[in-house]
Amino acid sequence: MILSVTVSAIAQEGHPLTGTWYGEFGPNATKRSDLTVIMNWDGKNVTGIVNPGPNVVQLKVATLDSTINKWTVHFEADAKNKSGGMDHFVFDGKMANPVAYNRTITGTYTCGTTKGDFKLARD
Amino acid sequence: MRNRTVANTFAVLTAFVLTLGLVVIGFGQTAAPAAPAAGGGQAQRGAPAPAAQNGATAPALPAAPADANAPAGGGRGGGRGGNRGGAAAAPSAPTPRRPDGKPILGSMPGTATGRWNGGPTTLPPRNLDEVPWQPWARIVYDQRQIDQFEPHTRCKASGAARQFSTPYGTELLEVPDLQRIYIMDEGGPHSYRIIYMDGRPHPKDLVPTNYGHSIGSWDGDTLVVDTIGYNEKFWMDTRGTPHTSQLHFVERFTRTDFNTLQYQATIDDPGAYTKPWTTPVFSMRWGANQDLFEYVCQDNNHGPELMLGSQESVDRSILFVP
Repeated sequence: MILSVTVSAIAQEGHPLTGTWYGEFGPNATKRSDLTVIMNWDGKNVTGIVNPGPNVVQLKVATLDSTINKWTVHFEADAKNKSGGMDHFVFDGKMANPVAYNRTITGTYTCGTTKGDFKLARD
Repeated sequence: MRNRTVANTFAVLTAFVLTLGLVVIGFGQTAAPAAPAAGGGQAQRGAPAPAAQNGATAPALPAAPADANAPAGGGRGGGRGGNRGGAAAAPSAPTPRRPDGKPILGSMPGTATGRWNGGPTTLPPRNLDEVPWQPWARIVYDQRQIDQFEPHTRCKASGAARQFSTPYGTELLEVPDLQRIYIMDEGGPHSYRIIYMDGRPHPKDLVPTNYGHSIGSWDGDTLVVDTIGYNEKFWMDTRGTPHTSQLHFVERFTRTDFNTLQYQATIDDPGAYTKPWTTPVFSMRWGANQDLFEYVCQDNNHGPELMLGSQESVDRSILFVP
């Protein structure tokens, strides 16, 4: 996934997932890719996109367990791979500093048999 | 025996000091209202004769709603600012009015200015369970009582009720010719909000802002301000009661006498609450002959460290006041 468009953050103090998240992910320390996730809370569900631009991917699922001191995040997305097929990504992370401006999400992801880690920081 | 004598002496001295203290406090409370009353007198000398005082057809004052601050005298409903504004029950000059009978919410024309002190610091009632929180909103609220990373202390303009919770007061500047009311706030961003009084509707496709888009109208003696178009870059009160960009915020301002401005808000935000809810009534207190002054929030402001550091790096022994 490639970061291709700069977007502006439109939310910072509402629902903790709402906003633009920048970061990276990859299976190891040397093989990394940019990751941008924009999420929005509509009052009932979290919706969003991954890597806005020509290769944009819609989030299929995004949830936050906001139990105090837990703040676990789960989101899934399907993205086209180089061979034209679809890869299913599942991200599970934990939000740090959930009510702060500079909150982050770190965790792990799976894509088929590939596993790795990711880190996102709120813009 | 000697110890008992010493104890008795100490008790007598303590009682004397306490009595003296009460006398001093009592004197202070008696003396304090003199200044606002004098301000009212000046105002009446310099201003056109208010219709209400002439016995004209000015609308009658509505019954004063129950004040969230006054009975508590120190509870969390009023918070720091709220109680400061609402605790005193001093006699006051009547509500100043324009020739058409409408209350004047700011300074009287041709006289020294004043400002309102003591806005609400927390919007929910004492019993937080009365607020129809969405689960995430309640958790965020609870977390903010611990973390307190508030944008206002980083000089960010903060809309809704937060605009009134600055340490140095708020001025309501009415410009009838323009059919606008400006709300000037002092501490923090030192900014202002415009309330359009010309009957215009809210624009469609508003770009979300910190203060939103406000339109006002009169309901008897109460100014009703309807605001939408908020972004989510601020807290709407000092305690961090959450909101989203779906917030529809309706405020009711009633100047019940010269020195008192009552304030109540209704929060309709389906992004954060399951249904609309209304705050208690708060009181702000008139500060006669007090002007807003130049205030540079960024000077010596150590607050940005709170934004950039991790939670663990924050020194919680320091109290930051914008």
